[in-house]
Amino acid sequence: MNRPAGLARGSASLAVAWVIATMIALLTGAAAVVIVLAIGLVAFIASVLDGWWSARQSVAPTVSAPTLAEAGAEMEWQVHSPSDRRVHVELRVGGVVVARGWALPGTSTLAGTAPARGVYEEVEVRLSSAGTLGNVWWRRASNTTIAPLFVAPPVAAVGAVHEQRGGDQRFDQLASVSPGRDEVDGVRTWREGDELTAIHWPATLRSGEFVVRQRLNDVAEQWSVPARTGTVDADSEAAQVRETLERGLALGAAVAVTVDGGEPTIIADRDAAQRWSATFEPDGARPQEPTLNWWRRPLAVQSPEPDRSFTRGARWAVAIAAAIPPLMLLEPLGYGPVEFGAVLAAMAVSALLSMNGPTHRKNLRQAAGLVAGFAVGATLIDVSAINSVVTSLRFLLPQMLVTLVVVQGFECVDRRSARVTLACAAMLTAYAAGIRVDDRLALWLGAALLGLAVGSNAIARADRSRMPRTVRRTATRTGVALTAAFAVLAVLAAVPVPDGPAQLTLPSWLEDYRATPSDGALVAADGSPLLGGAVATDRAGTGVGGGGGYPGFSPTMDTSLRGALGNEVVLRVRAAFPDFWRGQTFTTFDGRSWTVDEQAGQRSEGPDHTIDPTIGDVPRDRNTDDQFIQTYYAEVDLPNIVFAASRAERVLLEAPLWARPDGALRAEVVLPAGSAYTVVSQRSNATAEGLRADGTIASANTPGAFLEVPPSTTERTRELARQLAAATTYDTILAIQEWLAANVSYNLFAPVPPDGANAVDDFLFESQEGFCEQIATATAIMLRTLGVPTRIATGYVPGERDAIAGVWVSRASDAHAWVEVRFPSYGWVAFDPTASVPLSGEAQRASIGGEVAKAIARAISNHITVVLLTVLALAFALVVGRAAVRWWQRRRRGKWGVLQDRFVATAVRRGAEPNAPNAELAAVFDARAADQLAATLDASAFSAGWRDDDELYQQSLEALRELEHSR
Amino acid sequence: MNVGMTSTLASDRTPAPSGPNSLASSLVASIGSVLAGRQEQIEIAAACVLAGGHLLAEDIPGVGKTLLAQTVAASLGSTFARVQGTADLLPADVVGSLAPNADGFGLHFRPGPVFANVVLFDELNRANPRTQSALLEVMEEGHVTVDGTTHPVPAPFIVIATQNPVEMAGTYPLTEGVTDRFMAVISLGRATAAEELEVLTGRRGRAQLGNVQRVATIDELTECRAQVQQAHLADPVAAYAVAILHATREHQRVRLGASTRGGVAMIALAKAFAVMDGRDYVAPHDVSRAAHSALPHRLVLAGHDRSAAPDVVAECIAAVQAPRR
Repeated sequence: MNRPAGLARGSASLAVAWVIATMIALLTGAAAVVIVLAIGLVAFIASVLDGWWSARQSVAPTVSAPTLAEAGAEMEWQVHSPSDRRVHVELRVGGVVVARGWALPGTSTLAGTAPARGVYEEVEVRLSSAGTLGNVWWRRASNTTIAPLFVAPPVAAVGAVHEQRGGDQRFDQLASVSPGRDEVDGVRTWREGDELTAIHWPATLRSGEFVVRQRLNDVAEQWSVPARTGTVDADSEAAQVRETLERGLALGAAVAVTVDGGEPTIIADRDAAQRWSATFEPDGARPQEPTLNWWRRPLAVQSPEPDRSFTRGARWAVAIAAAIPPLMLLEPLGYGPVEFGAVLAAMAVSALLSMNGPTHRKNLRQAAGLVAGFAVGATLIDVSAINSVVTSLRFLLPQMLVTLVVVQGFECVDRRSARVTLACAAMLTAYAAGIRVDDRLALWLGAALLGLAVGSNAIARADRSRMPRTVRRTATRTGVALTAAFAVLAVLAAVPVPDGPAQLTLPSWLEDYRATPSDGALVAADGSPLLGGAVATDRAGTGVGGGGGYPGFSPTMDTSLRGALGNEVVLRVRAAFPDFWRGQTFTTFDGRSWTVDEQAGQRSEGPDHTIDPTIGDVPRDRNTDDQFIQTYYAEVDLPNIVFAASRAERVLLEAPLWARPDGALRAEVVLPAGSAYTVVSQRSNATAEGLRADGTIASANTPGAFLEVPPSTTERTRELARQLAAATTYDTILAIQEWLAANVSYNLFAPVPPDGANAVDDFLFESQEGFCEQIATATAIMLRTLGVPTRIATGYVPGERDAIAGVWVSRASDAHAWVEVRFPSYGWVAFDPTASVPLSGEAQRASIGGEVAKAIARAISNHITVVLLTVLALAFALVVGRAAVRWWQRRRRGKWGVLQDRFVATAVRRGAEPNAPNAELAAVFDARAADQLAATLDASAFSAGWRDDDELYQQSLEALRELEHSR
Repeated sequence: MNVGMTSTLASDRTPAPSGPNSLASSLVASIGSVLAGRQEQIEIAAACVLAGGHLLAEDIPGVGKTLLAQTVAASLGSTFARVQGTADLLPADVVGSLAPNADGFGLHFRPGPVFANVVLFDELNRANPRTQSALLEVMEEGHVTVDGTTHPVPAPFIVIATQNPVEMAGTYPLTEGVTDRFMAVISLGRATAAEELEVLTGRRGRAQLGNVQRVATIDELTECRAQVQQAHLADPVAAYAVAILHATREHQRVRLGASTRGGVAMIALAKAFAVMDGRDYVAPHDVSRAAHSALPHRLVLAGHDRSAAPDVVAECIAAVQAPRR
C-alpha cells in the first residue's frame, strides 16, 4: 500500500509558479501560457505516477543486523534489496527510527543506532521513492523479521549490590560446568576492570593492544547478583546488573543472576550478560514520551526527500534553465546583445559561486549577488523613462523580475533553492509567453520547457549517479515519457483556445504619442493628412503607411486602383475566432469611387472608450453573444484607423477616439509600430438559417444613402440583379457570389475601365476581370438595385493563424474590401466570397491541441521535401553512426573484446555484479552454454596457448546471441 | 592399484588420460568417499595438496577435521603422524629431540612426529606459542634444525592443523606468523541431514577409511605439483590478485591486510584450482575462489573479530574489477 509521503523541498514554489502562470493566462488570454500550464500539469502528474509506480515496484528488502547491541549506540544494519531500483529506506524498531539511507540493489550497509533495551525480532521497513522529477514522494511500509536482536542497556556507572561466596555447594556446581577455567595460565585481551599490574607487556607489544595475564585457578569467587522486577526503571536496573556481571566476569568470578530471589541463572561470558540484560523484564516500566493529539503536535513538517545537496552538473542545468526565460522575455522588449550578455554573465557567476553548497564562500556569494543585481538592474532599467508610478509598474515589471531572478541565482545553493530558481524561471516563461506574439515564440517556448524539464530532473538525479543502469528502469522512463507526451496532447486537445482577458485587464499601450489634427480626419502613418484619392502609386509601401499602398485606407477609394502590397506583417491580432478587422466603411458611390462621409462623429477621451451603436446596428439586447475580445499589435507604423471586428462596443486605447457615424473608428494619434490596443466587440449570432429567416429585406425604415445607386448604373446591371434575385436576400447574395465566381476571373492587375464608364458595368460585362473591390462593389450595387441596404468595408482579413501564440497574422497583402449587408435581425453582416471568414454565428471554438496539430500538419505539408530529407538524413546518420561506433569498438577491443563487452552487458542486465569474473557472470544465466562461453573468453584472454579460431568465434557469437535473447 | 581405474574414469571428461587433472579428481573422489558432502571444502583441501601448501581447518569438534587429514594421508599412501596440542607440549615433542645413544656416549637425533608426509596437528591453538613457533621453520623450509643440525622432513610434507574457534578459553590465539604459514583455511561446517545419515549408517565416515586406496605415488604427486606450478599466469590475472591484496589493506575494518606471502599462497592455490578444472592457465575466477580460502585467516581486523574476516574478503573481492578479455 503506497502512501503519499509529501513534497520535496522547494516543490511548493513550483506550484506557486503554476498558479501565477494561471493568472497570467487569465490576464493575457495567451494560448502559449495555456500550453505551458498544460505541460506543467501533465509533467507533475506523470512524475507523481512514476513515483507511485516506483514505490509499488520496489520489492520489500530483508534486513539483517548483529544479534547483540547496546541501546543508543551506533550499529550497522544491512539491507538486502532484491529490487533493481535504488530506494530510500528507513528502518524502525518499536516505532523509533534506527537507521535510514539509500538501499542499492544488492546488499547495502546503513549506519544507524540501536533501539531501546529489549529483544527485537521484527523491523519495520519504510521505503520511499519519488518520480523522475523528484517532487512528490511515496512511502511504503512493511515488516520484516530478523534474527533476534538483543539490545542491552549501556553499562551503568554504578553496579548493583552482589553477594560473593566461595564454598557454596551450588556454586561449586556452577564452576564445574564452566570448563577451562582451572587449567589456564595465559594471556588474554584487556577488558574493562582489569588491573594495570596484570598487563603482559611482551604480548601487548606483539599484538598492538593491551593484553593481560590471566591466572585462573579454581573458581575463587562466585558472585550472585540479585535483580528486582517491578522497579520504577527496569532499564537502569538491567544496566546496573549488567555492570556488576561484567565486572565479576572481568575479575574471573563465576557469576549468576537471581531474579527476585529465584533460581540463579548462570552467566557464562559478557555476551551472555548482555543478552540477559536485554531480556530482563521486557514489559517493565519505561519512561515513555507522552503522545500528543495531532492538533497539538508541532507544525514542522519534515521533508521526505533524504538529500539536500545537488551536483555541479545539476547546478549548471538549473542555470541554463533559468537563463532562457529572461532572454525570452527581454528580446521582444527591445534589448540587445549587451543586456543579454550582462544577464548571462551574472547567471554564470551565480552558478559558479553557488554550486558548492550554502556555506562555501558565503560572504563573497552574497556580495556578488548584490553587485550583480545592481549591475543587471542598471543595464536593463532606463530610469529616465519612469515618470509615474503607473508607468513604473507597467513598464518595469519584466526588468524587475529578470533582476530578481538573477539575484536569486546567487542563493541557489541546495535543492530547495534550486527548485525556487526553476519556479522563477517557469514564471518568467509564462510571462514571456503571455506578452510575446511573434513567430519565434514556439522555439523559445520549446527551449524554455526543455530547460525546465532537464533542470528539474537534474536536481532529483543528483545522487542517482551511482545507480546501476538497468534496462527495466530505462524502459519505465521511456514509457513514462511517452505516456506524458500523449497526455499533454490529450489535455491540449481538450483545452479550448482562450478567448482573451474577459475580466481582468485588457492590454493597450502606445509606443509614441503623435497627435493628429483633432477633428477625426484620416491621417497617414507619418502624420500627413490623407486627402481623397491621394494614392501615391509610385510608392510601393505597406498599404497603410505614408499614404501609399492600399486605397481602401483613404477618404476616397477608386475601385480600379490597388497599390502594390508587400508581404510584411502589419497586424497581429490575438483573438479566438477569425473575423474581418474592419478599418473604414463607405456608403457613397459615384460609379467609379467610394467616398467616406465627412462627419467626424463622437469623440471620447479614453483610454476606456464605450462605442454606441451607429446607424444600422442592432442593439445588443436583441441578439447578444459573448464578448469577443481582440488585441491588436501594430507591427508597422499605422495610420489613425482603429481596426476592429464588427460591432465594437468598447475600445481600450491610450488616446482620444472618434466613433464615426458610419461605424468606423479613428484615433487622435497615429499608431506606431509596437503599439497595442484591445477591442471588445459584440458579434452577431448570424447563421445561414437565421439570415434566411429574415426573408427578403424590405427597404423601408432604411436611410436612403444605403440604397443609392449612381445614375450611371446600366440597365443590364439591374437586369442581372433581377435575374439573380432569389426567395430570400441571403440566397440572392449567394446567387450573386456564384455568378461572379462563374463569370469573372480574379485578377489583381485588372485593366482600368475607360474614362466615364461605369466601373460596375465594365467589370461585370466588359473586362470581367477584377479583385476584391470590384467584386464587393458589384455585389453592393446589384443588391441596392433590389432594395437591399449595403455598404462597402475595408480592412484586413485574419490571415494565417500562429497556433502557439494564439494570434492571427495579417500581412500587407491581406488588406481587403468586402460588402456589408444590413439584415433587420442582425444588423450589418459582412459577406465576401474570397476571404475564408465564416458567419459570426457559425464560428466554432477551436482547441489548442487541434490548432497546434493543424499548424504542425500545415508546416509539414508546406515543407514536405525538407521534412522527408531531414528524416532520411537522420536515419542515414543513425545507421552510419552506429556502424562507425561498432567499427571503432571492434578496432579498439578486437572481435573477442566486443564479444566480451556484450557478454558483460547481458549478464549485468540479468543482475550479475559488474566487477565479477566471467565464470561468475555466467552463473546468472544458469546455462551450460554460458559457462562454456565464459571459459572461452577467459581462455582467449589469459591462456598462453590460445589460438584464434574463426569457427570457435562463430560458435561463441551464436551462443552469446542466444543468451541475449533468452528469458 | 586404483590409479588406473580413476584415470580411465577421468578420461571421458578431459583430453589427457592421466596427469594432474585426473590425479586431483581421483583425490577428491577418494576424500569424498569418506567425508560426507562438503564438496567445496574437499576441493580446497585437494588443491592445497596439489599446490604444496598447508591447511588449517577451523571448526567445532566432530565435523570431520581429523578424518579429512587421515583420508588425505591414506589417499596419498604416505606416512601419517598426529600431534595433539596441549599447553604443556614442547617443541621437542613435535620436531624431535636429541636422545642419548644406546652406548651412553653422545646424542643422536630422535625424529619427532613432523617427520611424516602428512602431519595432523590437532587443536593447534592449545599448544603454547613456543611450540607453535617451532612449526614455523618446518612448514616454510621443509626441514628442522636441532642443535645446529638440519634434518629435512620427507617430501611431500603437508601439515593439516585444526583449531576450534568457538571454545577459546585457555588457548593461545595463533600469531599472525603462524597463520600466515597456512596456505588455506577451511571451515568444514556441519553435514546435511542426508549426509549425516550416510555417516551413521557407516556408508561414509571413519568406517570407510580402511577402504581408501592410494591414488598416486609420491613421484606422481611431485610431478603433478611441478605441473601445477607451471600453469600459465597472465599478467592481468596477477594484477587482479595484487588488487585484491591491496583492497584488503585499504579496507576500513582491516587493521593489518594480507601479506605478500598471502598473495603467493593465493596464486599457488589458484593454479591448483585451474589445473583441477582441466586448464593450463589461471582464470580470474580461480583467483577469486582462492582468495576466499587463502586470505581470511591472514587478516587482522579491528576489534579482533575473526568471524567477520570471510565477509571482509568477499567485500574486497567484490570491490575489485575482475580482468576480462
